[in-house]
Amino acid sequence: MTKALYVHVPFCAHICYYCDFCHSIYQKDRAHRWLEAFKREFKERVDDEVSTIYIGGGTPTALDDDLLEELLKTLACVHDPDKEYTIEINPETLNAKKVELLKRYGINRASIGMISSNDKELASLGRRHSFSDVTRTVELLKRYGIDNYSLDILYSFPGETFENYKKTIAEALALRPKHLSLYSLTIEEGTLFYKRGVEHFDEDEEADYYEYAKKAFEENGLLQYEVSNFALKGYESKHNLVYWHYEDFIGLSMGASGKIGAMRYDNTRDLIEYEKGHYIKERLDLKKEDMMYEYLMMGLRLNDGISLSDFEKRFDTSVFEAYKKTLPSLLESGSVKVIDGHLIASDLEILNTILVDLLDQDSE
Amino acid sequence: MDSKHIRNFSIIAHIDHGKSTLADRILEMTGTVSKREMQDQILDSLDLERERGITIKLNAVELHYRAKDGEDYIFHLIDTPGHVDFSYEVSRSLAACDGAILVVDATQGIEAQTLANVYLALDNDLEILPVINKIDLPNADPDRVKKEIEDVIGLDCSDIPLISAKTGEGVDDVLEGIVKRLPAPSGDPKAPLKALIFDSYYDAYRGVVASICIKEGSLRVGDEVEFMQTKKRYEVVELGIKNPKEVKREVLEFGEVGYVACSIKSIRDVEVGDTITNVASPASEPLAGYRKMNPMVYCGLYPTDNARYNDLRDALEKLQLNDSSLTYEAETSKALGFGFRLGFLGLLHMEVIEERLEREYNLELIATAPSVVYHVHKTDGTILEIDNPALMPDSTMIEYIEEPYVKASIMVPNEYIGAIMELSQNKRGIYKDMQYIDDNRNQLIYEMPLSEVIFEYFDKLKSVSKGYASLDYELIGYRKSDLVKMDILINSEVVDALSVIVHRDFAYKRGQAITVKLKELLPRQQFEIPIQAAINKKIIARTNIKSLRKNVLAKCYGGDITRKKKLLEKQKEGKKRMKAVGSVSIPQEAFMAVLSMDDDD
Repeated sequence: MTKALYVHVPFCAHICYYCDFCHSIYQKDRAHRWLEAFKREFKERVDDEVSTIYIGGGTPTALDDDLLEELLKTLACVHDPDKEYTIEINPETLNAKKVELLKRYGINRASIGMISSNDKELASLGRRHSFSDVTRTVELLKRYGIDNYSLDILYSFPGETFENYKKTIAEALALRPKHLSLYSLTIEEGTLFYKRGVEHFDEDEEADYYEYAKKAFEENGLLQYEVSNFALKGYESKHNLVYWHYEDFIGLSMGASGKIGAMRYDNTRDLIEYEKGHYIKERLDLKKEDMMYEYLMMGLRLNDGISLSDFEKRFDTSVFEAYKKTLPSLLESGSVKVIDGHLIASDLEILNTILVDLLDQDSE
Repeated sequence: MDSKHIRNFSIIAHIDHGKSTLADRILEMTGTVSKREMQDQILDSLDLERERGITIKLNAVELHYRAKDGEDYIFHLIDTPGHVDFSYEVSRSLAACDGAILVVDATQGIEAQTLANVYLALDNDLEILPVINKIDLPNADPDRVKKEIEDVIGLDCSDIPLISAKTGEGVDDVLEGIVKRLPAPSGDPKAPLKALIFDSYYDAYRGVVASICIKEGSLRVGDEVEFMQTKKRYEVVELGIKNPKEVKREVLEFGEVGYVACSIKSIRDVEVGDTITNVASPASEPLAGYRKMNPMVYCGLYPTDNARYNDLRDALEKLQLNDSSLTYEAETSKALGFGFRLGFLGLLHMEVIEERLEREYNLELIATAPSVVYHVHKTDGTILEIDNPALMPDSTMIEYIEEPYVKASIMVPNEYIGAIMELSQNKRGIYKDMQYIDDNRNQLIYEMPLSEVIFEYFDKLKSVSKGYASLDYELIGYRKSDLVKMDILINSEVVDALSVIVHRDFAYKRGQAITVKLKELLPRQQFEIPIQAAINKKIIARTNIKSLRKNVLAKCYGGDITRKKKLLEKQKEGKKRMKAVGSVSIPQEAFMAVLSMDDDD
């Protein structure tokens, strides 16, 4: 069975206006304490082979070089060159020294927070980098032979214009990424945007933006494989596919989550608790119905949907039997369809309506 | 006790002027309820009453008071509902009294309901003892209010008690005032029995328990009695008074206020305003003022989940046990399925019942827009009473339609008169009169259709007057109006539960407003949905709800599962509160939108 490893770096040099991930402002002494605790957690909790490694955040590259190296050194024992090994990069934090470190410790995939190609827009979102930082980052990565990189693009944020957006899409494509993630802005509670009462983008415009980019990406060979993700053939994120296939993943460090069999957990976000070795804050034992629903909730995000045979193998029942109350009408209305042994959502852009209907299955 | 030492009275006031607080203080200061037992506002026993600050079910309590002259008195404090929906019930409980304490807020002065209640009290020949409450508030202006009471109502305010029901200050003056200024019951203790029923409730063990006041003669356990309006006869099983706990008695004498139980099974057999007399030596005439109570407002009520129809029926049965003014009968809607058409005394009554059904019986309901009863005169000479717009006959069969009108009295500070007039005109009001109250305020009199008053009028009145206007209204009869039925089509199908009766002159504007409002309220679906308003199958307004294009979680990775699942569950809860009509989900607000006259917001 595949098992992915996610490591969360809970620090950022600053906080973006729309971000609600687990983070605190980077301070070296705190980061140092965190890293010591992390090494203990890693030792205690990872004894097995892992299939992929993903270092996310926060801002992993906000760590000072020595701490970054220490982190990479810790993880080195579970890595081998065949595995996908990704790190998230904020463009303003990268320099030659850091890329050299990444390369040395086997990182073979980078996810770059490009967000927009317009510096004014970047500033309005609380980003601290300019677009030139993005091109510089890409150059650096290429120079060190890390040419499997993905770009994150954000859209439907306040003040964005379609003209700027088109430019962002074109600039992103010009950087020849192997992979792109395209996210609409979600105004999450606790973010600065939420506190400011920022209003949601017009639904139709949001759809227009999305469809424009999707078309442009696909013309350049970057095919959609998940709601927000596009890749050249063969460059789909193996790590993220583990989530969408609802396979097991270990999340390590503060604020990370994991799933092992019929149990999901969330780690603590509190450094003091974390240092005490109280890593897991909440443990959730899943019933079969929960797992079946989560399987669909994640799997239907993929263009390939879910495999009928895999579902049956996992749950000892067919999806049609398990969802006999809700699936027939969804099939009838054409909201979902069966193609090549897969159950597929017909329109990923309105996936929630399907997922909400499916929730009705276990209401009685 | 000698009836000269009895005082039967009510407290009357505009809402929030402190009626219930004063009642509490009186209970406390006469030792009826100890401070420790004191639950704030003890007379308002329904949770909802306490929350909304209104009294719905009545209560009467017996209090003992030793006056400063050394004599002992018995007071019967009879509570009255504080809302215009229940004005008949108010009038009957006032009829049980000989006097009334009029509470006026020292910061607000006279309001519409103050006057309405005073008129009801005067109609019932009550002596009125005015008191000015809330003198502890910094903006209290008792002198101005005193002058208002003298000028507007014409009551003598030379020794008016100035009180704070909250702190208890001045309340002893009220108690003395009751003794000195309010009369003892008048009537003949030896005459044949006349007992006035002013309230009733259902008790699982004793059947219907009626609150009564002995106006003439006396009543004894074991007596055979007749209810003079319903003509039904019973044997008296139990008598008693409340203090406020029930205390059984063998006999209720002239002037006393208490309760009677005769093993009556249905609350419908005990009508407020009816007179109980003795079969052995009957009174020749019942007491005056009896009226049969008829619902004024109707609406359809449907469970969002059709499977809960029986639960709704059971709940209605239970509620009706204690509420004789609530009527219901089964009805079917093409759009909403099986449900009930309910009749209410007014909009507040409707809201209270809906809220109780949802809260106490855990039902999720769709209520259609409230409707009045229309008199439809058909070309064949017959007359239909229509309380559901969907049932309006085809226009070719209608000669004319009549609708109920009310006289609305609005009290308002001068600066808002213009706004109120405009609002009332838009509600088809006919200006009748404007009376000067004081330098600042006037009373406007309008005649307007009840249908326009029951929905949004009060709220709008409050909003255009920054909360200063107050309203009272009474039914004045039926009048001919140029009314038409407007149908609403969603996805090209008439949704019968959204049909509404409108005045022809306002139809186009209303059709526009309704379709636009529905467009805002209906969630987008996977397909485009046309919304149309039609009169006699002719489309007069239309708009489209564009199809849903984006409803998906942008990010959903391993760490997001719990949170994003909750988000979906929330969406599902929202959907559960809607009614699926064909392939379209309609939220509750949409059914109210048909009465909305907003086209601006």
